[in-house]
Amino acid sequence: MSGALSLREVSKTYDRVRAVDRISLDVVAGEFVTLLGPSGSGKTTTLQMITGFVDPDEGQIILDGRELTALASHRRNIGMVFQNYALFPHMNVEQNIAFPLEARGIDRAERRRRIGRALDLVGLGGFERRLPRQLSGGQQQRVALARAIVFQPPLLLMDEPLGALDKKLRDRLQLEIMELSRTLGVTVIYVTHDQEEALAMSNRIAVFHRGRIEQVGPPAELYERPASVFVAGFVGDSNMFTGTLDAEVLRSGPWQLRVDRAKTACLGHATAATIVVRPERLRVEPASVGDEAGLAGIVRQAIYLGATMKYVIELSDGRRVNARMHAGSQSSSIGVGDAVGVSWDIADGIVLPGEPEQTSLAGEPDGSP
Amino acid sequence: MSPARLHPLLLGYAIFLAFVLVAPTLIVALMSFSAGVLLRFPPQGFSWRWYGYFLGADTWTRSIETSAEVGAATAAISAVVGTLMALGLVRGRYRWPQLLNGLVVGPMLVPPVVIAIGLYFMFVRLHLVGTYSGMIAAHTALALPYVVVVVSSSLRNFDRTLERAANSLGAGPVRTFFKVTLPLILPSVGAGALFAFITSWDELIVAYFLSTPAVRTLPVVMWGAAQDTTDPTLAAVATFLSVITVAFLLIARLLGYRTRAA
Repeated sequence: MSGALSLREVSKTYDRVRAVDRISLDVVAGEFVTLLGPSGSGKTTTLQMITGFVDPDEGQIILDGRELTALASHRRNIGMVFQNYALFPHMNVEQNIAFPLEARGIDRAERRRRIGRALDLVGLGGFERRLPRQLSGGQQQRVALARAIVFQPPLLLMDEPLGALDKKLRDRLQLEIMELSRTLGVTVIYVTHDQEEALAMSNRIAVFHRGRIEQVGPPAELYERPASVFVAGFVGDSNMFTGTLDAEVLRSGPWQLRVDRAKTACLGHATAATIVVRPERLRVEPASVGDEAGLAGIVRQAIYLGATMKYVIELSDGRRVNARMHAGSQSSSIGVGDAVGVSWDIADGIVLPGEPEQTSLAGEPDGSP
Repeated sequence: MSPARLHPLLLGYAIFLAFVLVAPTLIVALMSFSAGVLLRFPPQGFSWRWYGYFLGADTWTRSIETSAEVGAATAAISAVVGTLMALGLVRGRYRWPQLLNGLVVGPMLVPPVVIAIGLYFMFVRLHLVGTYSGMIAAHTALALPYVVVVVSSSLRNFDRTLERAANSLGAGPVRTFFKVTLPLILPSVGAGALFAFITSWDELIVAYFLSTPAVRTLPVVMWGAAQDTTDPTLAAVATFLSVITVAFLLIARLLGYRTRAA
């Protein structure tokens, strides 16, 4: 199987700003890898260097043992799906999909066969004669997908392909794209800033931050064992307690929070550190249980989400944390305005060096993975 | 958006202005259908005789042919060269884009007489006075800016992601240009070509300097006729000229709308 991609120490500088800073990434053939990061983190520039729209200043990009950087983009044989679909408005669906086949000099009969197959794969059989403007956004993106796979490229790149679609359609197309990529066995590099999408679709996720890859790993690993405060804040919801590490506790505001010293051995004394706790790992108990209940707080919001309840709790020092529990458990006894104690198992408190940046999404009480 | 209601005064002013602009043409058109032998207003009676006369006269028909040929060649050359210039202006990377832009649209700003005199002295040396090629070259110089302006604006609005898409699908620069870029800017190129034709079609001053009895465009012959004839033939020719110009302008406008809609 082909489609193995390797980025080695790839860099790109724009006007003295390192848009991409010595990135290395190995993608196995057939793998679905998402480049996740906020805008300006370098993920799109990385994608454009793979397609050949942008030349790297340094480094190598290797696809199936072949160095790509010297190849013009039209010789790279890589499929690409754009956020705004980029369908040719003067061509109908069939002509759009025929375009890459014509460029490769494939004869009429074979073109016909392949176009039919590609349209069936994306569920748009019978739309051959429509013009792009006669199609809905979702249909246009399906045509773009068909056009990008019809010439059987070993590698398929997708640049926020679902960004312009509404939530429901996005969810459906996510599943379709995953199935399609598995059916075809094509390697997919998928760019998004939507962490839910990344978690849902990928074999592995590469989290981009300021032109570097902060962490690469399967979705569960990023969620359970984030390597940095940035990753913890960007992937999934989290509560963060920032302070100074001291022996077995983290001094954070009025509290001394116990930490698992075995896991923080590499962190020195008196260094700035952050404890990250996922909302579903927080225990919320009525304050009457006693002093052992943990950090004191007052429930400010209780939101019913069907399977789960979400609580926003204001701690005694004024900061807010999110907690999530199965609806119908003991939580039902907790309501807005109640005094509660918030705690967690030491093992669920992820200790990371450094502090969250103001710009990250850390602690934002919205979004639900 | 609902059309705003015009103040009666403004409406009156608009009608007055339209009348002032259109009236001379209308008066000439009316005079061309006169049955009398003198160019005068109001016309006496109605007849097509002056149209018959001018279409039957060798001098007129020959000059119409000359004008059409020069205009068509000007339009074709301007369309190709102007599109290439627009591509260079919009896509190229060079130091002083304003300067280059100024040079390209310069002929629109220089008084035609100045251009005519300059071209005349240059063309005398090159033996281009009184030739088709000379006339076409001069009119192309005058018409190019229109093509460049129209095509540049459509290139500036062009979504270059489409070209990247074509590249990613395996099309090289040439295929991308002819299959994607050109078809999408073609309405603008067409509009530019029509403007170029009109520029040449009703241009008098430069043509007057460069013409000889053998090669004379319609406006030059009309100028001559206006000096020494008094019958309504001239009005008929003028009406013919205007109808063609207006028709081409309308088509150019329609093409302009199509480009924007695409």
